[in-house]
Amino acid sequence: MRFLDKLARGLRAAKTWLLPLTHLLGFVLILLVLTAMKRWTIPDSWKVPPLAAWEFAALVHVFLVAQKMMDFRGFEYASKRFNSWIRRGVLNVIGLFILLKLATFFFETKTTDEKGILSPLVTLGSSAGGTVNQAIELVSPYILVMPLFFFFLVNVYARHHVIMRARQLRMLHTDQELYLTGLIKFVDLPVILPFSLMVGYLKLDPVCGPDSEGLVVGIIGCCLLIVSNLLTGVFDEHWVSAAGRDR
Amino acid sequence: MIDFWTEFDKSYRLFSQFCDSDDWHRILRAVAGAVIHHVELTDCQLSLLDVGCGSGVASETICEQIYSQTRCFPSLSVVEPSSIARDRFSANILANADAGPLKHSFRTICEIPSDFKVDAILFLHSTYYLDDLEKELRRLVDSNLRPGGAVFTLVLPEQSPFFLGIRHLNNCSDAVESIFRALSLKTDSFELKSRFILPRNGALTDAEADRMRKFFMPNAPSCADFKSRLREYSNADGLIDFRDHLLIGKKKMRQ
Repeated sequence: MRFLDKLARGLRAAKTWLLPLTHLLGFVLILLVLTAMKRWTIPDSWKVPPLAAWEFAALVHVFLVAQKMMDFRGFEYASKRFNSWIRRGVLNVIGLFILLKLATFFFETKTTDEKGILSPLVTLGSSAGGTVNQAIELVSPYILVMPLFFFFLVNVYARHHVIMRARQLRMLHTDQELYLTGLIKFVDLPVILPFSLMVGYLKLDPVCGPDSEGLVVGIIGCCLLIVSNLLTGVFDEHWVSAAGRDR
Repeated sequence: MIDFWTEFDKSYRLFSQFCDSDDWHRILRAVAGAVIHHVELTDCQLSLLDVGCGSGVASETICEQIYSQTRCFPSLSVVEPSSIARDRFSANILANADAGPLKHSFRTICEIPSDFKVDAILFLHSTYYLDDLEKELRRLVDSNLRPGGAVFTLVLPEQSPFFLGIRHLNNCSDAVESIFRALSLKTDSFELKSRFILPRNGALTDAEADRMRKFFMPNAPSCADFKSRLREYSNADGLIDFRDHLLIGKKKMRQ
């Protein structure tokens, strides 16, 4: 029993040590595996979306970081239900984005037949297929942007909830309110706003075709997902060390 | 009731030296704010009953906070079975009884007469020491809590790291919440910060560590083990958050 107890505590300590490294390793590993799969296991006749490996790796990276961030002990002044909901909700939604990306990957992959004609890898019945294809075309370019907007919404809603609850306890200008306001100002807005402007510009630019638009949005989306994670981490560390305060 | 004060008094006082006093004051302010928010003040009258008041400092601070926010001084009654705590309480508050908030003092919940009514009942980290919380709470809510009044409990969550392994610590957050529901009280909850600050150099003496270990982590086999667990649960700044939960159970106007 004592050995098991020691082992469990050792593993917990190791987990704490390895977390940032595991995230980086996880990201690189996923990227390598997916690139290798794309290079060697997928038949040459398949035409897969160009950024698929990067997009998966970025989403899984976000999932891992979100898992760590959601491991915090809850927003102060929030209700127990809100805190447990937000922990579960964030991870479920990011998991859903990963599944969505997987689905679009299969729907966007095309095969070449003997005559050299491209046809979709997955084909559904005519009526359902049309709707699904339309939905995929509509959603696919924005899957990487969705986590950014999602975190922005979570932070805005959490701030609203925390302020409302703190007021019920007659607490004004709480540390938690300052923290969430800072997170929105310095992490969410500088990342999401320029990205939205860029997507709008690409949509309006007649020279830019859908392929290059998807590529640009994909590349920048991958980078922004990772950058927003980094910024959140930096903001967190700065908040704790500068003011000696916990979130 | 477990006799907290005779058994653990010295350990507790040592422990409280290391707690973040700002957090504790903020928590007491939050409890006062919650009382004002949830209980209607009629004619500037508000009566509180603090069950397991200990040295009485916390309930006195809450009364002062309520006064500073409403300019109405509440009346305070207390339940405290320990003679050691009562002595300390007497030294702290009873000396000011003529001018202070204290109106009644009971040794046990059973001593409270059924015609004695209050607007708010406080349990500030005291639910753990009641053997049958549901029975005692039912008695208090049915007989002594006015309609529209509320029960305010400050409790640790079941998962609180610091209290892992304390087998006798009953009635933590989830248990209290389910009792509130069983009593048909409208339940609300707030998560609050309550932090323990490890010394900057991490140097708790062996005597200090041993005293705290016996009380807070009896399942830690040695001082070294206790210290390593403290380090494990602390963040980069050497803080451990107990995460106090403020649970509010409001009695309906007509029940």
